[in-house]
Amino acid sequence: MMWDGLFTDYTARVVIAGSAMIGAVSGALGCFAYLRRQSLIGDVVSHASLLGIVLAFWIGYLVSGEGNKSLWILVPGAIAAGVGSLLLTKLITGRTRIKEDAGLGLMLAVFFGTGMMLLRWLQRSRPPIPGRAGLEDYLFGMAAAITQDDLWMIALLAVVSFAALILCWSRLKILTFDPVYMAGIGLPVRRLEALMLCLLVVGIVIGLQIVGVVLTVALLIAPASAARQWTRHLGPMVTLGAAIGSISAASGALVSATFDHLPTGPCIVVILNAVFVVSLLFAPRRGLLYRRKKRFVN
Amino acid sequence: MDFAIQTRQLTVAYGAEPALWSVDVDIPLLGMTGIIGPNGAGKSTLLKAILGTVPTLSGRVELGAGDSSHGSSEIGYVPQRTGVDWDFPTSVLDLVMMGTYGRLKWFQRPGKNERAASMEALRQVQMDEFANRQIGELSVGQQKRVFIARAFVQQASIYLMDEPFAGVDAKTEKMLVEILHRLRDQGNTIVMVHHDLTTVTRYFDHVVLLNRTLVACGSTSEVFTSENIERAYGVPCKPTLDSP
Amino acid sequence: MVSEGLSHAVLPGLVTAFIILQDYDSPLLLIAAATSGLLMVWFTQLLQRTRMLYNDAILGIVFAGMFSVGILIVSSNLRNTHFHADCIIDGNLALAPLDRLIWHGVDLGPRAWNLMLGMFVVVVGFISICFKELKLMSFDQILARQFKLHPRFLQFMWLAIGSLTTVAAFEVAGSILIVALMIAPPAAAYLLTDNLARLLFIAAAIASVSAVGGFYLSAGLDVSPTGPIASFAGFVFLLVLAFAPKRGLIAVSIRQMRQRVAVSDCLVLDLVERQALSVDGLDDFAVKVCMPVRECQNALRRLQQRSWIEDRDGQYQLTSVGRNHLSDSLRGFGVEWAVAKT
Repeated sequence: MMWDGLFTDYTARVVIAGSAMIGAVSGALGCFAYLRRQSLIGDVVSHASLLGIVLAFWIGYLVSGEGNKSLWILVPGAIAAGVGSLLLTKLITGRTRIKEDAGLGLMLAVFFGTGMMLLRWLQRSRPPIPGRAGLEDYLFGMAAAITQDDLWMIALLAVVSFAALILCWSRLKILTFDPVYMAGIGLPVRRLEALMLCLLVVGIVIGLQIVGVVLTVALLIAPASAARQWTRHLGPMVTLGAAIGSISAASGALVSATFDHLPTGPCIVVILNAVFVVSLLFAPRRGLLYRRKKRFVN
Repeated sequence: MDFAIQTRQLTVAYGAEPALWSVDVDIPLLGMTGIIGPNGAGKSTLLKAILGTVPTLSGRVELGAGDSSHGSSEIGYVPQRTGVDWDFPTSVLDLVMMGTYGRLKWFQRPGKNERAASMEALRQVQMDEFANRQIGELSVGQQKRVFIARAFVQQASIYLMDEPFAGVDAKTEKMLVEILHRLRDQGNTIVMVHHDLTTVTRYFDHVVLLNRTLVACGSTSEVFTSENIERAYGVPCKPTLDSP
Repeated sequence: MVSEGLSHAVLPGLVTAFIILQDYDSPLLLIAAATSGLLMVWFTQLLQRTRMLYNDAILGIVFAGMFSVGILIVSSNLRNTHFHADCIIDGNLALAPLDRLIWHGVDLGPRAWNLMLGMFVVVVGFISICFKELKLMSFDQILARQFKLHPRFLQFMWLAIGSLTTVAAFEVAGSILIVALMIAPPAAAYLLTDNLARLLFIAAAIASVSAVGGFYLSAGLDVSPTGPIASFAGFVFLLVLAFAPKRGLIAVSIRQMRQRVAVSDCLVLDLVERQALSVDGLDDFAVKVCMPVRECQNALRRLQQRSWIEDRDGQYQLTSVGRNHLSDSLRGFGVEWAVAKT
């Protein structure tokens, strides 16, 4: 089944533009998650947001009487659930002796399990809720489902997060590198920490549409891990991360749309991992081949 | 005598046990002051309380320039080396420039002036030729010098340092002390947490002896006596008056 | 989080073996899946050795990559078969009883039940035989090596058994349930006891209760049981988290509040002893010692109730009981120098 048979050009443009924007935001924000060693937080937030998505859909249905999968309804729900799971993890690990790793895994399983339960229940409930088909696309991502309306939401999130990144660049950089020093020179660490957290959640939630809750962590972390190999400065790293995320997401969406029934998420992740492996092997200075050659010359 | 930092009835508690109990410290303006005491005596906590990064149960901190109970960019701060990721993608010059961030407004970025000031600070610690290195490529001693440069670029007159000599070899320590003494002679106040009792008389003009509560505080020759050290450490101990 | 990774990484092995063998019942499937899990561990260690990345990022990249490969294989080759992408998350617990193990024509019960029974015997056997070795290993690796307990071999065994359990459970329970049941019950038990043997029993008990409770919940909602069981396990954990007698959130908050009150009472006592405080000079006193007036007031009230201080001609003074308490607690705080001063 070929690409041009399935879509009019207009839909294709929407899907690719949407995926590219999502990839750019995730890739850029992922650099901070990577450097703050919070990669696994990405996994937890993305899994947890399924509960938020399903709840938001259900509440939307109860209020308006019809199922609406617009991102304008689902994204706020996902963000709320993501932030909620993080706060709970923080409460558990901060006030009891449970280790961070266990706390994260726990929240992931519980939020995701509850989300799945509600999802299955909604899918079977009688009478059927109109528009509920396609909710399960959030598991593995379906870029083809992006609509014109969603594109505006994605663009809004992208503009807000890039604006925050650029405007607060210095502060976010010092927060990521040395929060102790930052507090020492009298800068407001807690407020920035909250901003950073919100940005990360946005970076994760925005990826759900195209990679799905199970694999979002890769869209967040793989571009950062690849970009880190090529550069020694934060600015270029974030730019490169955004570029890698954007290109991989767009091409993954293309591949997935070309073949029938291929979920978008895994396509994007496989492309991302290929870029990552190439970076790890061939990047100058840090790449494995470069280092081996250097050892050989010495 | 003018004071750079004064604390009154400063009490800080984590959970059931107070880390500092009613501490009254006077740290004089100009000169180098060592905060000395056994492990768990609250030395780092005292620094943090002065910076305003831990909540206090009671008491106040006054800085020479005026009252301030919250962290201030008038204080240059050198944290312990631990907790910083040396693989972070940034250069030495970038790291030093972070010292200027406290002065910058929220949306402002460091410009030409900040860059020049940072280069100057690096020159002070003789690290200017390393400006474009990745921070991970530095030795431990060089890292400490870069941290000192970062505090220096804050253009503070008071410097707080948390064990700057931990984990450096004797040669590097000597070099760091020379840098710090030069800083002091230029009219700055330096306060540091210090561990090694044998070097106290050589390094410091003033001493704060601490064990949860203040044991003694004043000029080294008056305060650093065997009687006071015994009171702080709980065991008899003679001050070593070593000759360099 | 490693178990989360493992539960995802077994997928490519499982589906590849299925495509090659076209047989759902072959034990080779299990071995292929376990190999796939160990492959993930190996990849992770390989990337760790390059020291170019942080460990948490490595885990995320490796398991997401392997899982994606698995999903792609499933969705490109195995449409309309027993495998379905959703099934990987959900498992098919509800269908498990229909899949019988027939051996020489004798019905031995549900296949999955036999499999899990086997795993149960293996795990319990391993733990009871190597209990003290495992205990030492998780506590102090270096000491274990000195005692010639072969910690590396044990660790490998442990990992292999973990991987095998994951795989065995995967087919029935799907990936969420594995993670939920591997983490929530032990975490809850960890808040209830300090004894390792008791920890194991409590964890196993909580897991069983969650499984049964979740199953009834799922029957009520008419959905696949894995989500409800995970949810139920989480619910049990949250209950324990809130109400555990010593380490629960409520107990911890009460303890911390008591500690704070005790410390601040003692502080006011000390300050009253050293700074004169007249009955109507509270405001000046609060300014002098830099405490909020309210907090001073409360502390003074409590101190008077316990008759640690008394009003002597308009001046607060410590009673002898109060003085004893002060010097006792100061000694307890390790502020002995202050005791000598008073």
